[in-house]
Parts: sequence; structure tokens; C-alpha cells
Amino acid sequence: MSQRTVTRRYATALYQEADATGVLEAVDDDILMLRNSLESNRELSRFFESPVIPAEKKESILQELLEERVHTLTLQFLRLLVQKDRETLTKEILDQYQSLRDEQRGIVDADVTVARSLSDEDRDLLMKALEKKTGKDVRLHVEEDADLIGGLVIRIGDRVFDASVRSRLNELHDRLRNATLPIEANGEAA
Amino acid sequence: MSNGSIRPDEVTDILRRELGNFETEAEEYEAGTVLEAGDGIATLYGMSNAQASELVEFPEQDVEGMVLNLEEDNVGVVLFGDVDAVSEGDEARRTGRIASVGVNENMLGRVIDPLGRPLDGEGPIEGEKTVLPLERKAPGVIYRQPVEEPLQTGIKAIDSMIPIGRGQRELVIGDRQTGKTAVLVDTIINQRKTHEDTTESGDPVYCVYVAVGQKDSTVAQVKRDLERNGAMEHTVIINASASMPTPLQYIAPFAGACIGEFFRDTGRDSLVCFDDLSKQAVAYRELSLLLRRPPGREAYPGDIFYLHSRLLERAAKIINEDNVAAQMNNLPDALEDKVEGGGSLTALPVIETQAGDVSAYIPTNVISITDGQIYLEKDLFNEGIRPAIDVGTSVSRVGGSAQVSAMKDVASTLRIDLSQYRELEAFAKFGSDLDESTQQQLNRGERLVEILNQDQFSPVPVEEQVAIIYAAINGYLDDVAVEDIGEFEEEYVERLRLQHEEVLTEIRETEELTEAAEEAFESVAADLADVYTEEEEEEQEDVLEGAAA
Repeated sequence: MSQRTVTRRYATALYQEADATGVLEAVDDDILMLRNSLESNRELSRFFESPVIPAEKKESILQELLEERVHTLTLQFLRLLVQKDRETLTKEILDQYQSLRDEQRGIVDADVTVARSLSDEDRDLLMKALEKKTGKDVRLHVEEDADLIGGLVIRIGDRVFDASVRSRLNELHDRLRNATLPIEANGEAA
Repeated sequence: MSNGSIRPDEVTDILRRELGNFETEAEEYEAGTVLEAGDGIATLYGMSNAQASELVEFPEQDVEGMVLNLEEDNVGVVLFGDVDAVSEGDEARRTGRIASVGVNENMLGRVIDPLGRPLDGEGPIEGEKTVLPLERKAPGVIYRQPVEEPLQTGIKAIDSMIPIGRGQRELVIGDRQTGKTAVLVDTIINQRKTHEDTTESGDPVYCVYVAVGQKDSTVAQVKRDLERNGAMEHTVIINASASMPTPLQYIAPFAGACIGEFFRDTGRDSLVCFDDLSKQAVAYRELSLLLRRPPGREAYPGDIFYLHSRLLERAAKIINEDNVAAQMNNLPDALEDKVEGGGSLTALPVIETQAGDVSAYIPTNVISITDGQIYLEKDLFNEGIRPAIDVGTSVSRVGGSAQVSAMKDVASTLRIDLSQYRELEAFAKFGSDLDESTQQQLNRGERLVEILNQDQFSPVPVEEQVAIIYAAINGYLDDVAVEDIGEFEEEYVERLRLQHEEVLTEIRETEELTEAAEEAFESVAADLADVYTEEEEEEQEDVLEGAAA
């Protein structure tokens, strides 16, 4: 079974259980906290990925570490992962959960690459334009890349809107190279 | 201002025009990311709307690929270009185009790759092209009609005993070095007549020669042979040589079928030679294994039969009614207003066997798909029989109704005579004394085998074939020494051409064997046979005299 199938199943299970017991908000916060901790704390992510630590020990550590900080459902979920030998996929499952929730709340991620940093005004303008186009709330991730020369590239999911000066120039380059010089039969240019 | 030189301001003008048309609009496309790449396969993440057999481009690497696998969370792509250029993390873009070839008449005489790009260094292929998808469903039952018009190969053994009709699929099968390609090349050369003189030898037949996984030198040789014999003007060569990426070898026969269909659906006749499908099967096996599709018998994937059956099913004789043909199923948009009925696509697939084993997987598959096979035998080849066709195992299941009636009349007993001869020949090897009638049969058989022998690049017109076979079947050659048969044949045909041209023309035009024709054949053959028998007697006398002295 592919990794994605597994992560989707666990994420959906967590969501449905949280929804049914009415603790969705709390679980959402827990997941966000856990995801951020995994990102910032290398020890923690190593702990989840390590095959050396026995399952019982992982469970007891989780119990001790998180009992006070997260909702019982979140803790139970993490322990289930450990029991099912899926704790190495924790990060992916958390990501999957977040994108599942985003989908439901109507939030999309937009990766924007710009040549020079955006002013706040432009940022708002861009945000509004994208929200209008997608019909959803947009979460902007802005990156700078001087190679673009000018303009910007926006990526939402699989779709890419490329309005950078670099690709314009590339296109012009190709067109000029492919432009044909019409020559008449006598060898004279027309 | 001298001729041929280009003024700088003209160049500027063109550049300005291009610039003027240049619109600064944002590009919008769907992208995916390469998850893994290697062995000519790339797995992409994203691109969730990609279609099967859609073309995908890798803009940074300037490589194209084709979607073969659509899975739940990834897309499997086979790469057409520089395979090593693509690596993990690269961006891929959908093109929205299904893999296809642009076809037009200017392709005739050219060597192209399976995507229609010229390979012969003679510049781009000019003219507007009709873009046809590589994969296309074959025409359905109501758009077809039975095979009834002959496709003359100019090879005596084939036209007399294994006749091929326009729209048929006849397999050419045999070990390596048994003359499979020679049969195809001779057939293509013989179609030259149909272009020179359409009233007498039927509508012109446009030929496509598809070389899959062959040496470039072999393809160059084929091209030169066709050129020398004036057959390149009506032929397109598609080359996916052994050094080209495997996906191109896999799609090459489909590209050939595409070009054949262009002629077929515009009411013309075409002949497509696939040389050879065993190599295509190997290429497809390689791709399938790399795409992790489960291997089956001989490690071929489960759909290897479908690969060949859907390809060969595209061979067809289209119904001769324009309004019915116009409604043909799965007609590409580009062809819609060009369709005419009455066209045909004849397929000559080739399969190479290993040590004469026709019961291997791919040979049995293709034998069961096609309408007959021409089996070329190594032993016969070594005996000096050219083409080395094994008459016993070769058949044509539908071509019989396409044979001209004059040929049917003379060649009806040929197959039986030959197989009886083969049987007796084995028996006679024991060296026992043979009665006269057996001796007679052996005699006749030897001569029949001899007249069916034929040099490469020398196709024989059907009326001359009829004349020669008539003479042999009716025993005019029985007293001519076997080594003189070739010479006899030449002289016989020469005399017929000089003295009885009208008879030959009549057979060609009416396709019937008249009594006048029979008389002409008889008189010329009898006269000539006398000359050769006397010569022989004289020689024998000389020998006897020499011995006495």
C-alpha cells in the first residue's frame, strides 16, 4: 500500500472521530502545535522515526510528555500510531490532516515567487485577486528569487500562473529563433 | 544587390514583426514534480488531470515524454529525449496534446522518426499537416468491406500460392537472415507500377516501412535499395533504431499505422510494413517492467496481445461509399472533411523467430491475429531457394478471393504439386528404384521449385507469372535441364513480349486467361523447349563421342 493511502486513512480517521466527539477545535490546535514542534525540535522527530526505541517505551514517553499538553483524543491517536507501527509516518499524517482540514474550510495554499519583495499593499492586492479567482481563502507563501528578473510566478496546487519576465524573455527568444525568413524562388528575400 | 543575399533591414523587419505580435500575457499551465527518474521513466507527483498518452514536457531539460501510467497519487511518464537529463525535483508541464503525428504527402520519400521529425537531413517537411493521434480505434464492422482487390508483391511464390489482398494483414515470419526484409522491400518496389500506370495495375499504393530496433546501417541500406529501384518516391520510412529511446521503438508501429490511415481514410491504398514486431514487443516489455507492471509469460506484460491486436486491427478495406465512410468511428477532427471511401491499409508485420520456434509467445500471438503467414525457412534458404518460403506452412486466409482469375486458373494445383514433391523427395533419398510416375513427379517438382526461385529486386508482373507457371504446370519444362530453367524463363518471357504482347496486355487488363493466351503460351513454350532439349542431346552426344575417342 502506498504511503499516501496510509496517511490519508489515518488522517481521515482522526478527523471523523474528532468531529463525532465534538473536539475538532482542540485537535486542530494540537495538530498545529505538534507539527510545529516536529519542525523545530529535531530530537522529537528523531524519537518518532527511530526504529530502535521499543513500542512500550515510546508509548510511555508520549504519555508523560503530552498528557498535560494535548487533548486525550490526540494522545490516543499517537499511541495508536505507535501500536500499529506507523509512528514513522507521523509527520506525513499530520500534514495530510492539515490539508484535509484546509480543504474543508476552503483554504488553499498559494506559493508565490517574486523577483523583489512585495509591499504590504501589493500583497493585499494579490491576495484579493487570488481569492476572487479561486473562490477560496488563500494562504500566501511568498519567496524571493532574483532570477525571475521581474513579475511573479504563482502556484496553487497543480496549476501554475507564470507572469515572470524570465519566461517572457525565454518565449521571445524561442520565437525569434523560430521566425522564418521567407525566401522566394530566385533566392531574393521576399 | 546580388541574388541570394539578405539585407540586414529585412531581418530587422521580421524581428520587429515578431516583437509586434508578442503579447505579454501570463502563461497558465498544470505542473508536476519529478519524484523519481531513471531508465527512461519518470514518476511525477501532481498533474492530477493528465490524460493517458498525453505528451508532457520538461521545459528546463528540453525533453518530452508520454503518460503511460495513471495511478492514484502519481503519474508514470516515458521519456522520448535525453533520458539522463531529467532528475528528481524537476518540473514537468502538461501540454494538453495527445501523442500524435502530423502527416501529409510531402513525407513520401523521407526518413522520419516516430514523432514525424525528419532524420534524413533533407530539411523540414513542408506543407500543412493533418495531425492524427497515434492510438486510434480501428474502424468498425459497418465501415469495412471484404478484401477483394489484389496487392501484387511481384514475388511468384507469394502471388501464386499465398495471395495478399488490399486491406489484409499477412505476417512474414522466420529466423534471422532468411530474407524477411527482402520480401517487404520487393513488395514495396513492385508498387512502383501502380504509381506509373494506374489504369492497368490498380490504384496507387502508398508504402510505409517501419523499422523498429534495427541498425541504422540496415535502414540506410533499405533506403538505398528503394531509391535505386525507384520506389522511394511513394514510400515513407519510419526509423526507431536500436540506439533511440525505448518509448520511440514502442510507438513507431503506431506512427506507421497513422500514416497508413491517412491514406486509407482519404480513399487511397496503403501498405505498411512493420519490421519487426518482436522488437517492439521487447521494447514494450522493457517499459512495462520499469513501470512495475506485473510480468507474465516470458516476462511480457499481460496486455502484449492487445498491443499487437489493436495495431493490426487498423488494417482494413474501407467501404466504397463516401457517405458511410464519413461517419466512421473515432475519426480525428483533422480528417473529418477529407474522408473518402474505398481506401485500404494492408499490413505486413514481421516476426523474427528463434531457431524456427513458431510456438513461442509472440509468434503464436501474431499468427493468431493476422490473416495468414509467410513462413521463411532457414533450411530452404541454405538450399538456395529464394525467397525461402515454406509453402506447406504458409497460408493466406483471405487473399484467395483477391487473386486474379488467370492466376487462380494456373496456380490452383501448384501448392499440392509442390507439397507432394517435398514428400516424395524425402522418400527418394533412400535411393531405391523409383517407378516412372514417381520419377515424373519428382522431375516436375524440381522444375516447379526452380521457376519459383527469384532474384531480389526483380519483381515479375502478374501476367508474366501466369505465363511461366502455365508452362511449368503443363509439363513444357519437363525435358529442359534444371540448370537451364532460369535461362529458359528469361527467353520465354522475352519471346512472349515480342511475339504476343497483346496476350500479355489482355491478361493484365481483363485478369482472365483466354484460349488465345493459352495457345500462345503453348506454342512459344513448345518451340523453346525443343531448342533446349536438342541442345542437351547434342551435349550428351559430345560427351559420348569424347568418351569413345
